[in-house]
Amino acid sequence: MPAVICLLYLSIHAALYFAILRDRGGLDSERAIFLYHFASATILIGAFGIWVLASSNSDKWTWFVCVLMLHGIYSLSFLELWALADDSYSLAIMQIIGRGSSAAGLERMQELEAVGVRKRAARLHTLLAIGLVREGCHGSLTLTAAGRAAVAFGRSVLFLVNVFDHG
Amino acid sequence: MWPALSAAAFVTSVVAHALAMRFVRRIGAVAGFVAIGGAIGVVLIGYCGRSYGWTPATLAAILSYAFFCELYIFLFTLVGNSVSFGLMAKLANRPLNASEIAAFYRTEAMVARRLEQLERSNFVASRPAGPTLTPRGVRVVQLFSVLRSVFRRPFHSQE
Repeated sequence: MPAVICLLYLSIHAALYFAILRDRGGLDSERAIFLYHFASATILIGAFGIWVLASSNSDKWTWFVCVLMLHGIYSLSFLELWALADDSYSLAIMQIIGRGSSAAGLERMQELEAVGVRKRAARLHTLLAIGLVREGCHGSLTLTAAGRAAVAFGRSVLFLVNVFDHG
Repeated sequence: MWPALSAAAFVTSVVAHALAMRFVRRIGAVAGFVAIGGAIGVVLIGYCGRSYGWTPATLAAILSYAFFCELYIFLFTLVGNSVSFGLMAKLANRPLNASEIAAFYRTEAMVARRLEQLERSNFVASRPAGPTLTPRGVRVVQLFSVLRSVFRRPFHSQE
C-alpha cells in the first residue's frame, strides 16, 4: 500500500509539471527544476517519516526505503532527461550536422561556439558560487578542499569505468 | 539481510563492469553497465523472490539496487562529459588564470572534442564532405527532438 500511495503521489507530481508548470516558465532553470524535486522528496520523506513513527507495521522501515528509492529513481530519471533536453551540447552538434553542411549550418555552428563560451563562463561562475573553486592571488583560480575532494571522487569513478579522457 | 544482498549485487555490477571495460573490446560504458547490471538485477530478483517471497523486503532490495545503478550511470556520464569537471581537473594540477582557462577551452576545440566523442560512439561518421549522422545518430536526434518538445525546451543555440 505505501508503494501505491507513493506511485500515485509521483504521478500527481509529474502531471502537475506537464499539465501546468511546464508552460508557465517558473521551472525553466536547473535550480528551479531541482528545487521542485527536492521539495517533493522532502514532503514525501516527512509524510512517510511520520507514518513510520506512528505505525506498528513490522515492515515500516522497509516500506520507508521503498518509498525513498521510488522517489529517487523517478527524480533522477526526470532530471537526467530534462537536462539532456535542455543543455546537451553533443545533441545540439548532432542536430546541426543533421541539417547538412550548408552556409546556414556553418552559421549555426558559430552560434554553438558562442554558446560554448557562455557555458564555460556559467560553469566557472557556478563552481565559484558553490565553493569548489576560489580566486587566489593575482586573480588566478584554484581548487578549494571540497573541490579537490570532488576531483578525487570523479577520478575514482572514471578509473572504475576506465575512462581517462574527460570534460 | 536484504540491504546486504542489494549492496553486494551493486558492488558486483560495478566490479564486473570495470573488468569488462578493460578486457572487452568495443563496449560502450553505458550499454555495458546496463547489460551487466540488468543481468545481475535478474539474479537478485530471483534470489530475493525465492528467499523472501514477494514481500516488501524483495521490493526494497530491487528498488535500492536499481536506484544505485542509475545513480552510478548518472555519475560516470556526468563526470566523463562535464565541462565543470574538466575545468576542475585542470585546476587540480595547478592554479590557472582566466586567459589560461580560455586557452584550454577554446570553443573550436570544445566542438572538435565532442565530434570525436560522437564518432567514437558511432553517432557521427567522418566523410570527405564533412561529418554526417549515422542511422544511430539520426534516431537519437529524433528521440531528443521529441524529448525537447515534451519538456518544452528551446534549441540549444537559441538560449
